[in-house]
Parts: sequence; structure tokens; C-alpha cells
Amino acid sequence: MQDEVPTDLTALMSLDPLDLTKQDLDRIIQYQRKQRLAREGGAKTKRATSDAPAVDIKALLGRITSKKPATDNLFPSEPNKDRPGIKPKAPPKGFIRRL
Amino acid sequence: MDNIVPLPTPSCFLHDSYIQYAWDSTSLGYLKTCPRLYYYHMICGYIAKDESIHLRFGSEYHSAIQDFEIHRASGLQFEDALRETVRLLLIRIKDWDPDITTKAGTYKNPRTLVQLVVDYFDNYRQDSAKTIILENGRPAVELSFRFALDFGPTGHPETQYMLCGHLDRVVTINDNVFVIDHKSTTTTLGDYWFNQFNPSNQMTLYTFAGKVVMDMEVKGIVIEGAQIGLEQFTTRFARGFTYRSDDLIDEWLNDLEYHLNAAEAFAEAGHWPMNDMSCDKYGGCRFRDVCSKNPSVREHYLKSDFIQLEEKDRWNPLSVR
Repeated sequence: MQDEVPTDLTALMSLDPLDLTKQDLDRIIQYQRKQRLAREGGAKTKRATSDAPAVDIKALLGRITSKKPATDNLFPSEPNKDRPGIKPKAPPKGFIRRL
Repeated sequence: MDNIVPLPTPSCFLHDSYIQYAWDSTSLGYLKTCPRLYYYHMICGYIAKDESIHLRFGSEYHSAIQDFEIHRASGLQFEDALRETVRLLLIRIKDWDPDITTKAGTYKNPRTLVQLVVDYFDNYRQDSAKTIILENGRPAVELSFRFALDFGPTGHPETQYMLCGHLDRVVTINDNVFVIDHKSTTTTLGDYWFNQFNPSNQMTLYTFAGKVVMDMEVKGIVIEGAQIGLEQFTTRFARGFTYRSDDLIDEWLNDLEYHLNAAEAFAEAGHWPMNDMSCDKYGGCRFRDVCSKNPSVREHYLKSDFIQLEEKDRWNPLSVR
């Protein structure tokens, strides 16, 4: 195991995993342990999202305003049309009791 | 050997019908929670857009634990087993690229998965729970089970219902046998969280299955909770015990017959009624927004907010891990 722990996991994780050496894997594990110690010590750790905004508000607004209710009727338990041979029947009176 | 193609997983439904004959805790849980939820998931194959992230994260977490146990059982020391586990994990998730702009993706992604796996094994490095080694030398992890019940659909007496599933790990703790089940959550691992597992459809089924599969006196289930912090990725682990007597299991099996009779009746009717007392459970049903709309426009909301999986990709209790 190497003493030097990487400060950025991205480079290691972006390598082809099939090419990772024993030392590479040990460095990844050491990095995670160091991160955990830092967290337990109250330090702020780097998040995966870095600078990217968590939510694209404009795209969300676009989605909401573009929603138009469908006009076709859908019975919620309409059978799957791809499944052959089944036809909905009238509900039986009560459940089938075997006991 | 390269030409061998795995056989497709058989359907869990009887031919040309929606009568499900092979049940696991997930599908049975949907049915018990709300027949309409069952219908959307099991019959229609709808999943929430971010559900695939949760499923993949959980699946890889389970696989890593299985790999580690296999390496340990083969004689590898802790650090060597962990290294090989991480190697296999990275190979499996090489092409996994969840959308990290989604809420699920911010805390469930390749980096956090590796972090969780390393934290988990470090946390349980000195563990009183010892994995049972099976007669074939393999550790009792990810044990798939399937067994037939002594009853079947009323309209199909030639068929027997089946119970299926996977036991995460079977261990001894102070000479008592328990099934360990791994759960990841963002909820605090306190009494409130652990109390949800007694009574619990899954935990009673798994205790019963453990007795059948292991042919041992299984005391109950150890719920191994992994709490994931959202703000910055943190992990915390805790275990809770839940016990099932034979009488409780018998009662559960007796009730099961009523539930499966009801499922058969829903399938025969082609109608799965809504249980509007379940909509706010567990932080709110994912289909709540759909069910609150007029029936005539529900399909629109399903199509826009959910993914409808192809039949082969839908949840199937008969799928082999």
C-alpha cells in the first residue's frame, strides 16, 4: 500500500478498471478512508456535482408549461394490449374464497 | 462454451393471463400496499425515472458484499479481499453513468458507491456475525430460493404458487442463525426506522425462507442499515434484530392465501383497485400524482413522469441474480 494518498479520485476512477494495478486500487481505498476521516473530523468534502447546478430550472419550467393533458381515455387497469388473449371481465361479486 | 445463450427468464404470470404464480417480497409488498401500485409496477412495468439509479446502486452494493464474502471464504486476508471487491465493482460499473443532476444521482453514483463499500467493510472489520459456509465451500451469501406452496390459483388447480427471493447473507451470532438483509436509507437509523420491520412482509417471508433453504432453526432477520447522508456523502451503519416464531410464520402463510386469492380475483376482473389509505406511506407513493389525476389523463402523466420497461426488463421474481 502506498503512503501517498491522491487528492483527486477522478483520475483514478476514469482509468479503465481492467488496467488498474494493485497500487491504484489501494490508492482508491486509501482515498475513501481519508475522506471518511475528514468527514468525521468535520471537514467539508468534495461533492460529485462540483460546479454543475443541481437542477436546471429553465428546463423544468419548460417541461411544466409544455404539459397538455391527453384527450384519450385511459382506464387505469386497462389490460396491456401487447399481451394476447386476455379480455377484461366484469368483477366477480366479492373475492374468491377457498378457505 | 462461448455459444451458450442463457435461457430467457420465464414469466411469473400464468400463460395468457395476469395471474401471477411466482411471488417475491417485492411484488407481494406492492399488492398488499395497494393493488393499483401492483398494477402499475408488475402488470404495466412502470418505474420512476430515477428508480433505475436506486436499483443499480442497491444491486451493486449487494454484489460487492457477496464478492467480499466469497474472497474471504477462499482465504484472502481483509485488505486483499477488499481490493479485489473494489476491482470487480469498478469493472461492473465502468459504463454506469447516472445523471448526477438528479437528486438520486447526486448521492448515488460510482464515487459514492465505492465510498459506501469501503466504509461498510471497514465498519464491520471486527464482526461478531460469522457467515455460514455451505457444504460446497461457498459462503451463504446471495442465496436464491424458490419453493412451491401447497395451494395455487383457485381457477388453476394444476398450478402451485411459488415463493421466490434472495437471502443476502446467512450468519451465526452467538450460535444463533440469522438472515442478514442489507438496507440503504437516508433516514436516521433509530427505533423509528427499525420498527418498520416488525411486522414486515419481507422479514417474515425471509425468516420462513431461511428455515426452508438452510434447514436450520433461523431465529429471525438482522437488518443491516446503511444510512447515507445527503448534504455531503456520509455513511453510518447500524443493525437491528427482528424475530419470528413459527406461530407468526404460520399466521403469515395463512393470510398469504387470502392475499393471493385477492390477486387472482383482481387479475380475473382486469381491475386492480386503488388503496387510497396507502398513498402517503413511506414518504408518499411515487404514483400519488398520477392517481390524483382524472382517470382520463393518467396515461399522459405516466408517460411523461415514468419509464415503461419492456416486458423482459420488468420486475420478475423468477429472475436470477
